[in-house]
Amino acid sequence: MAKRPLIPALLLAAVFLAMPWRPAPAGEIANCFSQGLQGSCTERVLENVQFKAVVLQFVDPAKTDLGESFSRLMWREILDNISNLANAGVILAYDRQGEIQRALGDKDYRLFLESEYHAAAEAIAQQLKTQMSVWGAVIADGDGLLVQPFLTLETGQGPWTTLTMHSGAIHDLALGARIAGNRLNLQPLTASRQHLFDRPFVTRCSLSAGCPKGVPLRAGASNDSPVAGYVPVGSSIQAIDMQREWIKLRWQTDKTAYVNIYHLEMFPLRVTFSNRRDVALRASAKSGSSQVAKVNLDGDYEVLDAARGAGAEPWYRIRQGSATGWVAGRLVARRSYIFPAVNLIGGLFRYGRGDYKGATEALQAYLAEAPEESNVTRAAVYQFLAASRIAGGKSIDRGVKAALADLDRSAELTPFDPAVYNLRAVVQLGSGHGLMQGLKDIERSLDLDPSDADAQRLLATMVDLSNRHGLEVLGIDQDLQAAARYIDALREKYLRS
Amino acid sequence: MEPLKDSLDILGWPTQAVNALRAALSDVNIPLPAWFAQAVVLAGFALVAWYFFHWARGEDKKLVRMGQLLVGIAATIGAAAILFSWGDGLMNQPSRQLVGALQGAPLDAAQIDLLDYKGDLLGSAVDKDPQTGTFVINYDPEFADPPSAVAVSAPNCPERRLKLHRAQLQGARFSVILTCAGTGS
Amino acid sequence: MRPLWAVAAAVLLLLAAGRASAACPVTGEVKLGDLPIADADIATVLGGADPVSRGHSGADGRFAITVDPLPRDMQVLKLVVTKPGHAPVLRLLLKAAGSGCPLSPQEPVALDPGLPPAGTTASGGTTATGAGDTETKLCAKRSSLGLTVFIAPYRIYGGGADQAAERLNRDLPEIVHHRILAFESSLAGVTSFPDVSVETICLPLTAAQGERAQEVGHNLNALGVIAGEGELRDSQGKTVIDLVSVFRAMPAYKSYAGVPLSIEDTIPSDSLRPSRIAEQMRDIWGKQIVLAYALQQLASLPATPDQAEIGKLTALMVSLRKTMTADDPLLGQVEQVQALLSDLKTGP
Repeated sequence: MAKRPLIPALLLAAVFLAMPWRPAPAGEIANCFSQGLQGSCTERVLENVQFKAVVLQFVDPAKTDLGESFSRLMWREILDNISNLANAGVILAYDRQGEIQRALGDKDYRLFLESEYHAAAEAIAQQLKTQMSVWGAVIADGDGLLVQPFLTLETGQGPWTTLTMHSGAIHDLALGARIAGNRLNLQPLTASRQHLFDRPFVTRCSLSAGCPKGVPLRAGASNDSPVAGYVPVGSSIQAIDMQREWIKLRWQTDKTAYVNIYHLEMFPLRVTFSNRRDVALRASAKSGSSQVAKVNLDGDYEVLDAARGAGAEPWYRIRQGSATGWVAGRLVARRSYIFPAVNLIGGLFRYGRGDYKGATEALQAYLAEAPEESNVTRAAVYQFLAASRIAGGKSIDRGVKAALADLDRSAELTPFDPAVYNLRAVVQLGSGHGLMQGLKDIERSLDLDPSDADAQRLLATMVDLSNRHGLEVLGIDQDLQAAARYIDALREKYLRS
Repeated sequence: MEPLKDSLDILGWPTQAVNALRAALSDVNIPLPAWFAQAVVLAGFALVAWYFFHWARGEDKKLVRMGQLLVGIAATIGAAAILFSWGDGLMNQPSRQLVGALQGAPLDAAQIDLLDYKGDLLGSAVDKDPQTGTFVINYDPEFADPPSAVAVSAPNCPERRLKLHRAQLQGARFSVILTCAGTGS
Repeated sequence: MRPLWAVAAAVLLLLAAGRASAACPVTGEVKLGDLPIADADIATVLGGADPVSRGHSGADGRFAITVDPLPRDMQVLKLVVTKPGHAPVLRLLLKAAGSGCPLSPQEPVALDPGLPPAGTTASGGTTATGAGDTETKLCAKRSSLGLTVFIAPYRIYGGGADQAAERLNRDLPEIVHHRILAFESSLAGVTSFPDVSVETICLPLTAAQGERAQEVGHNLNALGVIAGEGELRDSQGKTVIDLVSVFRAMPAYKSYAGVPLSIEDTIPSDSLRPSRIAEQMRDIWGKQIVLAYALQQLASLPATPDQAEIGKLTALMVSLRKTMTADDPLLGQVEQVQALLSDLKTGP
């Protein structure tokens, strides 16, 4: 009798041990910075992650020594932005150089990137099976620097950049078109070197052995440098520069020291509140701490200081009028980083992971934050917004209306891109109320580029439906005969066998 | 000359014993400078030697007297060893630079640390010459408290600790060979 | 007593003479691969002390310096070799037994190859073999493939902005090259685009010197020529610069040639940076390069052109137009080139 409970227990244990590694939440899954364990940790976790981006070293032709620094900063900011998103990962290429080099046939990926830009980033994303490559360039700009981030979307990793709709009436008819713009040149930022790193950081311990004396500071930007001192975990430090993965900071009034970026939390530079009333500003980063003032918060606020509260929730110290105090991160509508692109990347992550509400918020935040962004990038963002609304819309009608409005904005920005019209055609046709409008959009697309594959495919689907007398599934209350004639005319003019 | 210099390491046992005592006291928050701990132990040895020689003089039983003499001699040797190490340290200044060569892993990627008597990190600065595989550890020697070992590690290579002997502390060069996974070294 | 004093003095003198450091020669060679490197700065560092500059390498890359013997408690002298454009190289010179002198490096000091600034070459007076006076005057070499954009130095009139103008002219080629490469590589559906170089000439050209710019561009077989100038003035108590930049594409096809684009801007005098100029032009420079390339390819087509080539150029123009808004200044030119290509197309 006594042995019986043992067998099920053993079976349970065997099942548990045989289970694949539980997918970790996003955030630190690509960073297992503990001495001796880093390689095994990233390999094991990232295998099971469905949606990934790789952050490549920034191209640095003037050898400012900041190429690696910016890639690490960008990587950490993205991690902060998607920290609550499960099954999403960010790889830092710098830590996997050997693997990338081998995957590229022993090509130095940095030289490849510097000479081929997006084409190289795409090839690397393909090799690493990531959906996105994030990279950039650091260029000497007089007495300052120009830092331009780039985003390359890898469309081969599943249909995540395709907007698909199933017809309103029957679900076996799927219409799809690709979102344009998989190679995005994002708005550069120009600043002096000091200004780029002039921000607060909060220390943390990333060593598996713990930090009993505190977080170590080094005299130089190297592990070989002598330890200059220690700061307690959770302290706020003011950075003044960066060298590779080392942040330079002011130490003991008149000295400087270096701390490894792995020992620092990344918090946004500014936070935005959306008409929050009667918010309690607190004396410390705890819900239970005393109230300093009760204020209304609306707009952008500089983050004076940051900390992690209970449950690792971020808290930010801000100033409102003459009052300064702490406010919980959950009240924040939007976070702004050194790179506005972080919100765009975060939005695409959420879209890729099916968090459409989050994606919509993040992409709208990005559009609000980057009004000077190029028309091509803004057009692509509106297309992703439209796709988020369709996929995540509670009511198909409301989703369609909002998506069409986004696509109209996208068409204003890139009026000569067939992709916008293809997407609009898909939404119109899929809504069940826009048959003629959809056909007009297909025509517009083919007029711009008769060889456009998506437009050709959509037209072929329409021709097939028309031949099978199945147009009513797309437009019950519309003139089907006129539509059939229109399709015939388009077929004559554009359809390639 | 080298075998003689190495054989002088044998006389290091009293200082090693003192360091063990220091380590134990340091763990309970009583850090003692090396010279002070050695001075106390030296005084202890001297006292023990004096007492045992004194007792031996008045002891009739041969066996007991021999035992007392042996203890006295041992204590004398201990005291002498401490005094010798002090004298050696004063006459032959330890080098402020320890010079080594690394094999088995690229020097650029290697982490090289100097360890004190307890095995903790000692403040030092390391310069590397990747072209020759040579490195130099710069540090400020403290009287009677030399570093105990050099720890070298590199990605995919388990850490190697090399105990530092008197010769190396005086400037003799040493080699560290790492055995790394997946490298043809 | 006197002889005693004399003896003591002599002993002291002897001791002092004995202590006088014998100089230690250190020789070596600085190389980059197999090439000797001249004018590399040679410095030595002892322990934590400040570096001491000892001289430079000669034309043959060799150097010979003199240092003091190392103190008893030091084993190594650091040799630091620096050359602009390369990471500093550190060599450890070990102490020789007996003399206390550091040993010279056995192998040449190898500089890190580094990466030359992409798309740029050093301009400054060198001429190609057999090139004419024009290249000498322009300080640039004629492009063999016609894939080079040449930038004339910007002049800022009004005084007080010489340093800013110098920095601008120094950094502008890199930024322009970066923007061109970024734009080309972002074009959807374009699998490859030729490697366009950006180089400088030493002859300033004003925005109004259209004919001169054309002459320069044709002499150098340029893909395009960029010229610009600025003028300082006072605006409500602040100093501003009125800047104008002109991009001229060189290739022409039959009677059709690209139209020069001129962009004007007024910026605070302390904001004169290459990125500001590049920002003025946004992606227009990139678009003009693509247009210029298409015209160049068109002009080089045979009488009965290969339809595959026509197809490629058509696809290139389609990709280019995708990036444009309705009010893009280059839209008309792109549509004209598309019309030219359409005329050359035969079949479906």
